[in-house]
Amino acid sequence: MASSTSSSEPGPIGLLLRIGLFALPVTAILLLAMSFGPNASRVDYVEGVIAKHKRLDALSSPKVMVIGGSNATFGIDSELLETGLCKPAVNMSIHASLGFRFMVDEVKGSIGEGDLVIAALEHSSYSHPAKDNDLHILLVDRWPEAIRFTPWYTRPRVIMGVMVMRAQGAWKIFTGAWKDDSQHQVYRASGFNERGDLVSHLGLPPWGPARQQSVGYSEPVIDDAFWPIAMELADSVRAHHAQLVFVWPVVANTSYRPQVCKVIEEGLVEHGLTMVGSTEDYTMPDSSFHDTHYHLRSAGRQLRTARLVRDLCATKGMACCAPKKDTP
Amino acid sequence: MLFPSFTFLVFLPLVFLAYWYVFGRNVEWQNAFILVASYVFYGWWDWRFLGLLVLSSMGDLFIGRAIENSTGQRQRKAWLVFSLMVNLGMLGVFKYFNFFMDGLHDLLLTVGLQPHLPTLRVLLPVGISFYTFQSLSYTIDVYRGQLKATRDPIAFMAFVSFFPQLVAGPIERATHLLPQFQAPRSFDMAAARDGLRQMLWGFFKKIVIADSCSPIVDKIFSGDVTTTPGITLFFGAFFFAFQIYGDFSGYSDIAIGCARLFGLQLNRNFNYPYFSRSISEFWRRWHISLSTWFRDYVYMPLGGWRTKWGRLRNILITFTTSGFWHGANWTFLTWGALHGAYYVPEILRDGKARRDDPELRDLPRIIITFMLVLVAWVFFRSSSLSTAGAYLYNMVGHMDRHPGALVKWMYRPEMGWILFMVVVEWIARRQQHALEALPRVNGVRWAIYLFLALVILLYVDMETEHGFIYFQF
Repeated sequence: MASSTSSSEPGPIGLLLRIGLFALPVTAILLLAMSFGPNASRVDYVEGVIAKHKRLDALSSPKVMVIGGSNATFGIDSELLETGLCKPAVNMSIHASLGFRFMVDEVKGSIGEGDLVIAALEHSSYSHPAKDNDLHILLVDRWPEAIRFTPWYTRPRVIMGVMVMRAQGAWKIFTGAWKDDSQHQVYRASGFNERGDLVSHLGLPPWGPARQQSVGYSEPVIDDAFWPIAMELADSVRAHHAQLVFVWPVVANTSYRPQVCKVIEEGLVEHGLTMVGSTEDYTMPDSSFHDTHYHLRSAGRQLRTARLVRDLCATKGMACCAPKKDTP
Repeated sequence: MLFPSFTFLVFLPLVFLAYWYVFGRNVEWQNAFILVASYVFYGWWDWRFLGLLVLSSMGDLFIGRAIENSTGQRQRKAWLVFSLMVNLGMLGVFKYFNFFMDGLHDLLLTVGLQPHLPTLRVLLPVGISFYTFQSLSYTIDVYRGQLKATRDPIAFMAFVSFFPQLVAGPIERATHLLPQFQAPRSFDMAAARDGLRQMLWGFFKKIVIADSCSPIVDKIFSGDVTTTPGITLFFGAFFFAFQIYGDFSGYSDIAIGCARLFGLQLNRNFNYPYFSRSISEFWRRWHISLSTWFRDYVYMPLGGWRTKWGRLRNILITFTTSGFWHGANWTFLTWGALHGAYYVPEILRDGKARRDDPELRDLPRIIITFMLVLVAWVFFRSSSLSTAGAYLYNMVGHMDRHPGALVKWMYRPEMGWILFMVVVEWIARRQQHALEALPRVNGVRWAIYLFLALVILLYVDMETEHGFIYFQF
């Protein structure tokens, strides 16, 4: 049996050409919005990545690089880390939603001899390592160079996302939906210190458990896609005579799931990767946290970093300064 | 794969071009290609659920032939029962198992036992209620002699899995869609253009209406109803009525429009239901493919409308079953039963659904019908019967609290877009879809398309992918 396209009328290509013609003014408007429109979001938090990369490029090896999500952004004192490990440090972490794939691509080209890469990944980075979401759009909107860290096949979507969200930003300004242009108290690019740690939340009053966002877990605990990325990072580290360690993210007591941690630890060991420390040391009372069960407040941040230095220094082959023996 | 996603934006033109230019010479190849594309579309969610889709299709294909080849009525009936068991069994396991286990658990507790019953913590496969019903209609129609069993497995599997309507309908009958898969197809520019117009309106309803209403509805329904002003609760239900309409009819418009690009005509699923003047008319206009499915395969076999009391009983059974189809929850059952109860006055006075077009003079009846539907939607949206009861109680009882809230809700941008949609659909209420009868002047038509496309882009949420409500059913 034969199917056909009618010869008297334009065929399917003709239809697509008409759609293309229709898309021209739409694309023109979006390009205008991308060129002259406001940013995609009023919150400039992700812009903090620019300063982190400047520091990463400026530091010579050996150095310490922390990768991960916001548990590390909020909860690591890199100055303390530098003092303990005798190496300059840069905290590259910003948001778990960027995905492990993105985090690895960000630092892979900057690994040098004697470097230490600390992967402080949230549980979602194990279960969803290759994320493709709005955060890439928001990041590229603030720092177009970041597109080189996204997979090639997501780039058209990211670019289109920037165009659309900038047009939406212009619309929101026009309609008055974006009346308040003041920055977020915590989530802002100016909230980071020179080493890339977020410090804007330190000293703020506690949120209280009722408002804190708990940790969401999903199955499988470790996605199959995690391992090629982890091994790629491990190979890169090995090739540069550097070191890679995985460390626990700190979670609040009510969000702690020992079974999940066990699966992660066993998986890493099975693949010849190092997980440092015990989960109990990285579980703290809910009151130690700010807005989520990952975001440590001041005291917890100090304690977590001190324990991290202690555990790292106890790791075989780790070059350290004098570790504090009295870390609680 | 979701319709409003970048993936679909790439998927559709590629499938469209390959369908007409690579596989266009032969209908068998086109069907095979549609089948592969549909499995890719479905597998994009979770490829593991493809097994169920294949099982349902292959099972009914085989059973259809077995029914036709059977010599005796008892044998034919046995095969039909087997088909029902396979399809409804799948639904039962994936959709209703925990509902019944929880019910049994509560029952055993009340008689003093401490039961340890198994529960299945499995994901509900997307669209399972839709494709099992579609597949099932085939075996029933073959059994009834309304359709000859097909000898073309590819065409049949493409019919069951056709990607535009696979996960949320319209639920197609084999008698309508399967012959289309078996016949040669030619590209019809006029139909394809009209299909695109229908898709554009569908995207408008989904993105601008449904997705805008969604956060408002979520906030109100998840809040403390005892302290929320009655007006706010009313608007929560009002916005949900338009959210579910925009979401579901938007999906249907996109599905029907998309099918027309491939030279296939799907059944109409919505006919401006909120312009109905009675509940019976509402059910002639809302989710038509499901209503007619239940009419033909449940209501009619029960005895239809032969006597007044029989009709009453059958209506109540059919609507409660329809509610249960939506989900394993007492809220859905109550929603269905309530719609059945709404029929009672009409049955008692032998009322018939009007088939003429609604006019402005019908406005009071339209409003009353809408309010009845709105009350039922509260049950549909609530997490439990007690929550729904409290919602309605406080909605009516606290109407006098914060009367100023009325102005706040009336001036929300979402209200403006709902009004825009209602006006456009009212003007087009005699057409198949809202953009069917646009002005013939090219410039005006293109200006309307451009306006709608820009509004959609301004409202599309790049941060969250919004699934369709009916995917969960």
